[in-house]
Amino acid sequence: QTMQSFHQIVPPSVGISCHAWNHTGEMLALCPGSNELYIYENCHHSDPNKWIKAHVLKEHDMLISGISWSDRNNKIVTCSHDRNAFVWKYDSSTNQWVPTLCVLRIDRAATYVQWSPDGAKFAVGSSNKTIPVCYLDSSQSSDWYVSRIIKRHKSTVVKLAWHPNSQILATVSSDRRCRIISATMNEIDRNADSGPFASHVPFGEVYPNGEILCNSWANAVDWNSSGSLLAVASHDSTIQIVDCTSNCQILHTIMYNSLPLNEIRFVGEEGIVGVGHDMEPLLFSSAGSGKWAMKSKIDSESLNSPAKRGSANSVTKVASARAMFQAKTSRGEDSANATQSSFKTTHRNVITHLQVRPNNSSYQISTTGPDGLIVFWEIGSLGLNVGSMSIR
Amino acid sequence: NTLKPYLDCIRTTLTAALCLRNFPSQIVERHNKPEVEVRGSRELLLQPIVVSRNENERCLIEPAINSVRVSIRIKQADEIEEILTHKFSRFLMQRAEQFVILRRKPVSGYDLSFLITHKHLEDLWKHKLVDFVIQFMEDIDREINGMKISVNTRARIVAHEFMKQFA
Repeated sequence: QTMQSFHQIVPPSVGISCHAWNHTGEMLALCPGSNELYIYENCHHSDPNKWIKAHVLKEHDMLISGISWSDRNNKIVTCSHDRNAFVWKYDSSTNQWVPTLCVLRIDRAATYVQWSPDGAKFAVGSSNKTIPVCYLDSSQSSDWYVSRIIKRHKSTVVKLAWHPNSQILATVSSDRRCRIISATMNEIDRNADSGPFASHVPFGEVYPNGEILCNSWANAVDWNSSGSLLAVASHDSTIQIVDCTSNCQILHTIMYNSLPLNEIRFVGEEGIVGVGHDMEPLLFSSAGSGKWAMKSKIDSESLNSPAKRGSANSVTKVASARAMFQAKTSRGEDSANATQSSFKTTHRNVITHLQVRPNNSSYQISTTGPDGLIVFWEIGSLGLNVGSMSIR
Repeated sequence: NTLKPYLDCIRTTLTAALCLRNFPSQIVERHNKPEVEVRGSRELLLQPIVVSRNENERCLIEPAINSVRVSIRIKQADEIEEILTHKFSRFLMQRAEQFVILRRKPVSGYDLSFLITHKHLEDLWKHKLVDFVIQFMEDIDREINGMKISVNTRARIVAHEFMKQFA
């Protein structure tokens, strides 16, 4: 049994495009499907209604498509469909988040952004078929972020994942490929580290055999915590597990029987949790047999009956009759197919984003989507060896 | 009876095809266009699928990364049904704005087309949308049949009344 709790943090008509936690889990940054960035504080409080919307940051012109909050330098980077990215730094003297411009040099929308684990650089995926990797340039009088561009892609870059050594990027694109590309920059990295590969490769080049073909659009990618395995989820409902220590050989291809995933995360060394168009997390693991396979759907299997959902469900006959009448007039459904409209899952729309929620007591993930809900899932109780779950 | 397998097949295909996402245009900056209509980048389009019940009734589903086009060819056995279908679908297509997911012009070779984008899926529940398309396909056959019967009945009554004066 998994425990989950959910909160309607923004209305369903608005939805959440992306979210990110700070390194303690006390603050939450999210975009309510618009060009604004909300920052909530006091998020350790168990009642989400007590979280305070402390800041509303308006600098972007169009939808904010990605947020990343570094746990090293406490800076937030946001990227948007308006081709820009901003790095926000907290100024405690004025209690303001101050934006800094980033020179991305892209002509199309930015789709995703992520700080490297050491907080020294960040990479932005874009519809320009390129990835600007940005770092702070303090050589001028005021500091701003400049970029070096990784090309190589034939279509929009959908997501990317940093290797734990902060020098290798795994990228997924709508050209149906996942690429493992070097992001070693002499300006930032003291020692060139090739991670699981034999020898290092210059900036922007693909590592040998590092181009993984998928049968459909590559949707999501994640490294395991030691940086030896890579998991790539694609739109044909498969996840490929690639062993980067043995020449990028594909260890397993998991073919599961449901809809595509939008995000995946390794849980320890033996588990992967995926979220996407099924509106609930799916769990994959290699525990026991050593072979990767889909283990369970985390939500609908846990007997999620409407009565258990904690809403103030009417018990009286009059109230339930009225609810049925309202359903008939407002949504045209009669009691025959009324059960079809009640969701078997907590989420009421696809899940577009997943983050690990920093928490001392247990391993939790938070999921958001266009339904405006933020749902927390207890992964630690699933009996997996969670080990060290990387926080990104 | 081939109706139920036909509709079940369309239902599962639509549920899979309607896995859409917000995808900004690769061609024009700051724009977000339904890729199934623009057809600018081949890698963003999926294989179109035709589900046929027989030579006269079929359904074309064209999926893409952020939009899906569903086109229906309604069964038209004779000329009366052809005229009725044409008038009925024209009536609906002129009101495409209120319909939200209807396309103003059908794809060539078909009578009616829906264009569903990811923005629609943010506002509408996907399983209800699929239910609606299936229900629509069932109802439209029934409506055309009903209209044909009432046209024939009316013609008979009118002719009867007219001929009475010669009796």
